[in-house]
Amino acid sequence: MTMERRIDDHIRELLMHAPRTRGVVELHEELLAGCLDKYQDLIQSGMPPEDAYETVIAGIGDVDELVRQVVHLDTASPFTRQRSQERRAAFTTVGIMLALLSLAVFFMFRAVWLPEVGIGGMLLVLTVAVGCLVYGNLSTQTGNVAATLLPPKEHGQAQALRKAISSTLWSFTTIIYLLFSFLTHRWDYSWIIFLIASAVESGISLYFSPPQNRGRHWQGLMWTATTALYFAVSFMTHRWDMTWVLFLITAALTQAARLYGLWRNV
Amino acid sequence: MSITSDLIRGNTEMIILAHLIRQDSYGYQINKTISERTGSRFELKEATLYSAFRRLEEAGYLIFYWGDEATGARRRYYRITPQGRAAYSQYLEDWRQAKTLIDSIIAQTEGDHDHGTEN
Repeated sequence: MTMERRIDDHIRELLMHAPRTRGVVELHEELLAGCLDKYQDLIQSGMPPEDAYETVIAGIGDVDELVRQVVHLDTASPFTRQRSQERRAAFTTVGIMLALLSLAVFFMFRAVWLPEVGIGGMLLVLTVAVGCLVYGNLSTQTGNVAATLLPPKEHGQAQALRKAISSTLWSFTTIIYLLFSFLTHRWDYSWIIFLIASAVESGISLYFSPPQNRGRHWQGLMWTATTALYFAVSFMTHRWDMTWVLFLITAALTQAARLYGLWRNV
Repeated sequence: MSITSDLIRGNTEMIILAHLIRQDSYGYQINKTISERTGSRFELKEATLYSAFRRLEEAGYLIFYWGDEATGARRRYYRITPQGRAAYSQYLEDWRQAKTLIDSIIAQTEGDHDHGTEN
């Protein structure tokens, strides 16, 4: 292991019990840069690596108070938080208003016997609405207190990807739902697509979740998928008297999985 | 040495501002200057230094920006703000006043002491 890596590991250990806020992550980087500069200087002055390492580590001092200070600064910035929340609220409001307006567009064009133009216009307005909702949601996260708690570094990018996939999934689901419904006029069961999307979302969460949360996401996936399957099978077969058994099967499977988990941990 | 250390530590903010008033800088560089100017007799602990940076930042005396180091960790550079400059003048004024006062108190005591030994 290189000395640089050893220094980094030592700092990581010092900050081990600190929450992973933005400030703590930045402090880690600042401490590391300072320690590495000092280490290089000591080596260049002719000090043996082990002594240089010890000197650098001894020079850090007690970081507990500093960590408390940094965490306090992270959570106590009401001005930024408020501005961020206002922005988010504005985007959400505009998004919802546009979504409602899209229905008005459709009905207006239908009234003048141009339903195709109506659908096109509605989808266009709806796309802008979804864009507003997604953008408002993504762009205001840094000012949010909950969001100052960062996921572990290796998961950071994966989380961003998961969010992007999820927003795309819901936008497409809405578009497919409307297209399918208008083309087939099967409004009575076309809504099941949202249940399917919900199951897919659970699957995505499961794929990206850290191992300790897998169990919870598995359960979410099982139940949403069962509900989607239940309605789909019921509408197709009209055997409502039988299809409820699907829930019993899922319950049995969940229990079996739990038992298997317990058995493995024994 | 411990009284000197306490004095330096107690004036960390002023020392940082004095350094930044000349140029933007980062933690290690400031500490290195302190070490050089004191003939390697004194150096601040990183925790003390970074804690002072955070206090100065919170007070609006400093802003920071990241360096663009291609390798290793990025340096966090600090720049003094106009409020920081004003605060530095005030620190300096306070320091000079305190120094004069302490000097005159000591001179008086020394005088008494000298006077006492004569008797």
